Amino acid sequence: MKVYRSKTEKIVYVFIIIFMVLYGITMVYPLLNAAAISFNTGANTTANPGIIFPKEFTLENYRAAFKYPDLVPAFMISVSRTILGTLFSMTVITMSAYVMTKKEFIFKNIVLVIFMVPMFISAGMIPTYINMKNLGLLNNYLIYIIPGGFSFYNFLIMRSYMVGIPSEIEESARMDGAGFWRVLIRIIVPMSVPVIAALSLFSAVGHWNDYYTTLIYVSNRNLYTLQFLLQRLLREIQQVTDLLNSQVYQQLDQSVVTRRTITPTSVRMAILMITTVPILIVYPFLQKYFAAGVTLGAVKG
Amino acid sequence: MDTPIKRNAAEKSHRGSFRRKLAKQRSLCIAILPALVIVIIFSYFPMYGIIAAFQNFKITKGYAGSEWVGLKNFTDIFRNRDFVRVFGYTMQISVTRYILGLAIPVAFALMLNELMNKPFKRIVQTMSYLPHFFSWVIVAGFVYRFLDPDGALNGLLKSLFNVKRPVQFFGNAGYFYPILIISEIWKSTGFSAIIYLAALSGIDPTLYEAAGIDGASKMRKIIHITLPGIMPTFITIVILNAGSLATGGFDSVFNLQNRLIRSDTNVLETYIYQMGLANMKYSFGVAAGLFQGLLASFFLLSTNFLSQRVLGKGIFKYD
Repeated sequence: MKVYRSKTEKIVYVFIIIFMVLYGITMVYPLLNAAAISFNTGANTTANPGIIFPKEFTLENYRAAFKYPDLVPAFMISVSRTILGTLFSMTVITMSAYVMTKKEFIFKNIVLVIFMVPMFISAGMIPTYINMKNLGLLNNYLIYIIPGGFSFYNFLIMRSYMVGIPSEIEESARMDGAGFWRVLIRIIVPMSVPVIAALSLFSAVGHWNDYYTTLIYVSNRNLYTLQFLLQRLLREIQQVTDLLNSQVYQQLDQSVVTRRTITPTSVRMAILMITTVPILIVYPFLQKYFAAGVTLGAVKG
Repeated sequence: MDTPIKRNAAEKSHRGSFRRKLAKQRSLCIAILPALVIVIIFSYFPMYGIIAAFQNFKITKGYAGSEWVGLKNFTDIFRNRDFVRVFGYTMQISVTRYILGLAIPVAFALMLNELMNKPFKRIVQTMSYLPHFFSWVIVAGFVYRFLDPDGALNGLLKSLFNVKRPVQFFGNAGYFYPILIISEIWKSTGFSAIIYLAALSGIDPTLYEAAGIDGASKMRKIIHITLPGIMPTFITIVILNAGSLATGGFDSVFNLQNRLIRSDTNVLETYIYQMGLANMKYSFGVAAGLFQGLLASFFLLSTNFLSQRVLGKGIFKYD
């Protein structure tokens, strides 16, 4: 179909190919670099900052990262909030989206207005903070689960999918005496599995990537999430230096520290990789779904 | 002719049917309740807190106990040099983001569309949206590492151009604007291009064949077939993206900032965070937030209006 005839066209085509190769490299290079550093000895990394393969392979960086007392609890908080938050949000959105497909629902117009207005007007950061404080959600695990339970974008995508489910199936179930809840659980949910799966993945990635909630509303170390921990370790040089000088590391094999096998940079990259790997694991699934999600929603999001 | 009695009866029966309907739709009401409660508590309750913009709000005294000061907070923010500068910087960033965010994904999609080798095309595309799923914390981690005094770029500068002293990319506020914009483009281009690629794959291939038979060059085909084919999508995005013209973006700026350059690189969101929460000047933060909120609402509502006029539908698809 596309045949390049003239010389200029050929030159342009070669240029595009070179550009795309370079573009692809810039997409994956930072990740490969971080991975290589995380498996490389700190001293070697200082001499070769641009590596994409570890030159002096070591696992000390990860060992040091897991010695960091906050890391494992933060990992557990991140995992649990991702699972619970996604389940909660999907339940809320599935129920509301299904109700809003009902033409006979008496409050459908007023509910739509209530859902839509916050998309145009928001109170701002400080009033939201004070509201959370008044509700007793500061330093409360539930802050990770409840406020994010409803998303208008996800609601729209879910609803527009459900509108497409043939109403005959539902009607015949009703004839057989199935009530609202039975229809929802036995018919609508199973038929909406693709959209629920796609939105769950997106919601889970959102939960996993969230550092903001912790930054604003949480000061209790026991409730830190992995992203927040990483954010602090990346920003505050002091944090990592303190970490390396801390008691835990004094008890660690001293020769490791003195030989500069681990450095702040190498430990940081190890923690960065621990934070990134879950995203990479779900990426193939995400990829399968999101093109569909983007076209389905056709809204800004 | 309605007699009062008749009307009364009609009202009564109407009310009766409403009640009957309500009873019949009890399950629907229960199912919508969680979503409704969440929206009301977390989106509407805070709106009440906007009154703090007109108070000298003290968190210990609450809204009821705090002293009223009228418009003092607003005169304060507009007299504040920092605020005016931060606002200018926010607009500079958001306008740049708007323009480049329109042009670059289109260009990328057009170039990708020209690739004839399908596996190569798929690999590039798959790589291109990977960064979209990384949080800004992680992206900032990559950027720090790349631009670190002993990072990859400084290593490259040293070996290629014999630059003696490493460039302190994060020690100079002047570098922040290009770093921010390039990082955002790096993160978002692939994902933003998806919608154009979808539009491009929807163009009828027989059009190209017919043009080919008529002897049209590649360039002519792009101008007369490809560009008109993605125009509706492009216009939609031009309108939709205008809705976020007043936002500086908290995540990208906050994660790329550091203590050294923070005061010179703030956008409204990070400035409000700093003043309102970190420095606990609540009322100042609420007033500044309200100002930005109104501006954002203005852009969103105009966008919605424009969208209804031009595209025949609001910015939220609801059918």
